[in-house]
Amino acid sequence: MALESEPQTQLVPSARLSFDDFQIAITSFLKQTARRMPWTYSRAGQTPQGYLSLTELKHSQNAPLQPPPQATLVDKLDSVSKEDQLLLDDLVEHFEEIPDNEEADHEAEAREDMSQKVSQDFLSVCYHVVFSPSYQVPVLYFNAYRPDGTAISLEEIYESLVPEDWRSSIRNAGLNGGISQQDHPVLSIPYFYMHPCETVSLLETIFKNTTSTRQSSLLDSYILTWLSFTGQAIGLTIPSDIVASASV
Amino acid sequence: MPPLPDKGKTPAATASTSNTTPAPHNPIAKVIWDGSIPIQFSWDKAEATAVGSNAVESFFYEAPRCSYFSLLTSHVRKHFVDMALHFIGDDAEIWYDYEGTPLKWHYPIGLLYDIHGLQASAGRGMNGSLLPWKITVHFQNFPADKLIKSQAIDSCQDYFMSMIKEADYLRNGSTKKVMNLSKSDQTQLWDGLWSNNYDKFWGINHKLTTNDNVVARHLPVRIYMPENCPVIQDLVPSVDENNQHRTLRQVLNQSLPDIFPLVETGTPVATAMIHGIIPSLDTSVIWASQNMSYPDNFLHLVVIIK
Repeated sequence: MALESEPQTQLVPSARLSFDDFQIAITSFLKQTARRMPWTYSRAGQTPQGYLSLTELKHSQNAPLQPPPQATLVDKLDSVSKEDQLLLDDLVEHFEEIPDNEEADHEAEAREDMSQKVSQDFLSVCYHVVFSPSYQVPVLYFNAYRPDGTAISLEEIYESLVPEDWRSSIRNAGLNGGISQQDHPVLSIPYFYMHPCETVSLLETIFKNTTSTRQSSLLDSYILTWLSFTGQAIGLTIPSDIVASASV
Repeated sequence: MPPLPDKGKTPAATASTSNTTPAPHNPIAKVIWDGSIPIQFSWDKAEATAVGSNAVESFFYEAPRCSYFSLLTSHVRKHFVDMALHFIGDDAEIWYDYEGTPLKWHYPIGLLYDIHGLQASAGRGMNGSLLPWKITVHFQNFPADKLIKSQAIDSCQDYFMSMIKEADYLRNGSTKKVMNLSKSDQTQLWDGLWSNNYDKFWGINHKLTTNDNVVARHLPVRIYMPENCPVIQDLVPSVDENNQHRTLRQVLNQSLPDIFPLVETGTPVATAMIHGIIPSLDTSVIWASQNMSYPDNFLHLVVIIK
């Protein structure tokens, strides 16, 4: 990660990453989130460029689901793609590992609730963190699928994933709103993404205000910092204890 | 090394807007702008039969290489609507395929032909002419899993402008230049593109490509390998450590060292094509960027494996 000098000859860490920096940053991120969020690193074919991916289940009215009982969930997903099925299986397994002292009381209730709701209005949301060689920052790509496997539209993305108070500001950001569709850089299929133009200035502002300017520690917490801001806009939240324990 | 374009003034081709900034004299850019591909659009047989129009004639059109399918759609639709009796058609649902592969409407037509026509046929060892390019038109069953939605003109413009912004960001590390273009300049840029008006378009575009004579940090380049590989987009510095202009060969070597060695020892394994031609790999990438880019300001290089 380059250090760029400012007119006041004070070194401010740049928010721009080289590809190698990005690889270091995501390795740290995977370690930081290992026990709490099932992020994985994927590649396609022989390209060196990979991406982080996470699949979450969400109520299509913008409220996260309780961890569903395994049987109910898996049975309803007839037409989910193989890749998504594997991710969902991982996810379910992962949820089962979480100590459920708090949830024991609510489980029975939730289970009943689930069997009615799960098939109608949940969305399977895939979040991918992909490196942009042009803007030299990570970019958040995402798609959301209905239970029948069909992807939802931009309008539905705004309604289901973007928090209500954020909607108008994101819609009006830049030339065509803060969210657009383009070919996923690695998978080459249509994916929604958050425009990266503001990422550099946002992160530089944050880094200016951190007490430590050691290159390595900023790189360590880079993805976490970036994602905790960017993810909010489309319903992706990082558990606060992860952010707290990794802060510089 | 070829000289940079002359900045002399040319009278605007159309006198309709007194505010049109005339384009500088640049024969190379003009020739590229005027490049076109004859296309034969045929209605998908199954769809046509379903509306009782199985004998509809094809639509022949000379398509500008620098344009986009979205910008031709109204002409295409009109032809088929005129031909068929009970049919209207919706611009947002129209899509095109070539030999079963859906065509990305956000790629320039010339790039699509270089990839699906020239690169693909080289891969199969074919030599005959592919023209007129035979494209199938669909009015239904838009493949949303393969093509970006809403290929109406607004989306085309949005996508085009985001490419222009990205190009600016690569050159200067910010999108200030593009964002600071006046509203009328931005309008002129887009109008020039969709109306295929060289002077209108290049009158504004040259300010972006010549970058006010400031050497660009990085250049907008995308490289397309065969067989539907993910597009290669690496950071391309414009000069080397001695401040010399880098060449196309160096740029290709950076991303594909096995296919494009720095020093050619035997017969070349591959060539790079743009706008249907094979430029010399010793061409300065700065010169190429300023003179041979597509309207979106990118050098879209298609790799032809021999």
